[in-house]
Amino acid sequence: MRVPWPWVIAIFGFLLSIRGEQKRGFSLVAIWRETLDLFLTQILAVTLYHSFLRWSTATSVIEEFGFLILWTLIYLIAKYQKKPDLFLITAVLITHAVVQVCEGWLIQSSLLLVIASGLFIFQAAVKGLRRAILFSGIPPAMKGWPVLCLIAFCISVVMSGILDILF
Amino acid sequence: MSMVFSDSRTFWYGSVVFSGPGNDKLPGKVRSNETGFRPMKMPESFLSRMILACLPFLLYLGEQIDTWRVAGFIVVVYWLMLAAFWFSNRLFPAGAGAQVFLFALALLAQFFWQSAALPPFWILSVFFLFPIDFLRDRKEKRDSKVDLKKFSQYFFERAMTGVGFFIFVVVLEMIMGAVRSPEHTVIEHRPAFAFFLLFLAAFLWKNQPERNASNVSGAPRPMGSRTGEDMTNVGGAGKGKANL
Repeated sequence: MRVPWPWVIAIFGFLLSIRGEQKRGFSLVAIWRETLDLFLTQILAVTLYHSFLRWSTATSVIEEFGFLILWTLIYLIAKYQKKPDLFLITAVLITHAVVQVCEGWLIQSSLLLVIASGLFIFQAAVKGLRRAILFSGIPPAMKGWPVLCLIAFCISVVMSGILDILF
Repeated sequence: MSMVFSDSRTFWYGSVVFSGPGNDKLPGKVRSNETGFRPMKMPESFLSRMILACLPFLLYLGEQIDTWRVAGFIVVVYWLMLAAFWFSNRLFPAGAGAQVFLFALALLAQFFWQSAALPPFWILSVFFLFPIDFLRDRKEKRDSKVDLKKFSQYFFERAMTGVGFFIFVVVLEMIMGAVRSPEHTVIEHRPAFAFFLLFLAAFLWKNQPERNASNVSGAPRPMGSRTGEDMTNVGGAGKGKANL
């Protein structure tokens, strides 16, 4: 499985910024808390998954049904936190991709941390720019999706340089 | 700036209004404008669903996978789940349909990951295409029996969403494939290009001449103004609403 991590950060960052938990106004702390929730949920799920692998005798079964196990773990954690469905699906897909690509808890955790940092930066930039242009004179023809995609394009251009170095 | 979200389930074909479970007006109310011209008007939320569903699909572009087949697969799964949940929704306790839908997605993702090694990003596309609101309806609001006429109208509308998604991603993939370098550097490291294409698609969709010419009142509207549904609302169903 090959995972294009810059794409993962850009796409999930964009989706979370427009469809994730929405707070009134722009709050960097709120974005930080949401991203931290996501990261801690993923870390907890990965840790439990590795515990199952270590202490269970049916290792191959756990590896084979890894997606369902991760889904169930993250579903329970997300429901406990009353998170929206997008949070659940995003957490599961990223965690599953990380578990498939990397081996070892430490490397997986490090990759999850890098991805969470990327998601935070992307979300903060999208929401911040949206806030910044909220009362500016945007032409009617550009309002809505066009301007959102244009913002994502600009942020991706800037971030691609950093992500190229990392990945 | 609008701060009101409206995810209407209305879809015009010609001048006939079809409605799904999310709409109270059922079925087929005929409208006509002064010229007698019967325009085809897709709802604004159609573009939102296309873009949101298309984004997870872009993660397959770096894979050695036939993206056309994956797009077709997503549409078929979407249609099958829509048909299955339309009929089976009445069997679940109130509000449980959405949770069952999520677990059905997880089971399918596990099955296709195990059997075909298909990375499970596709479930997010199905999630965005699927009108999950009707699964969250309270039990007492549901009909006691299945109305096949209502179902056929509703399913036609949703089938068009699937076809639209397929055409949208295939055209997007063709454009991205045309500029792909031999080293795949554009595709693998430049999500900015995909967002730029989505920007162009959204801009052209929003400013298509037919949309501005075919508003119901007949009054002229400026380029890019709202018609019927609010283009600026891109939140979709549930809590996650976002407006610009």
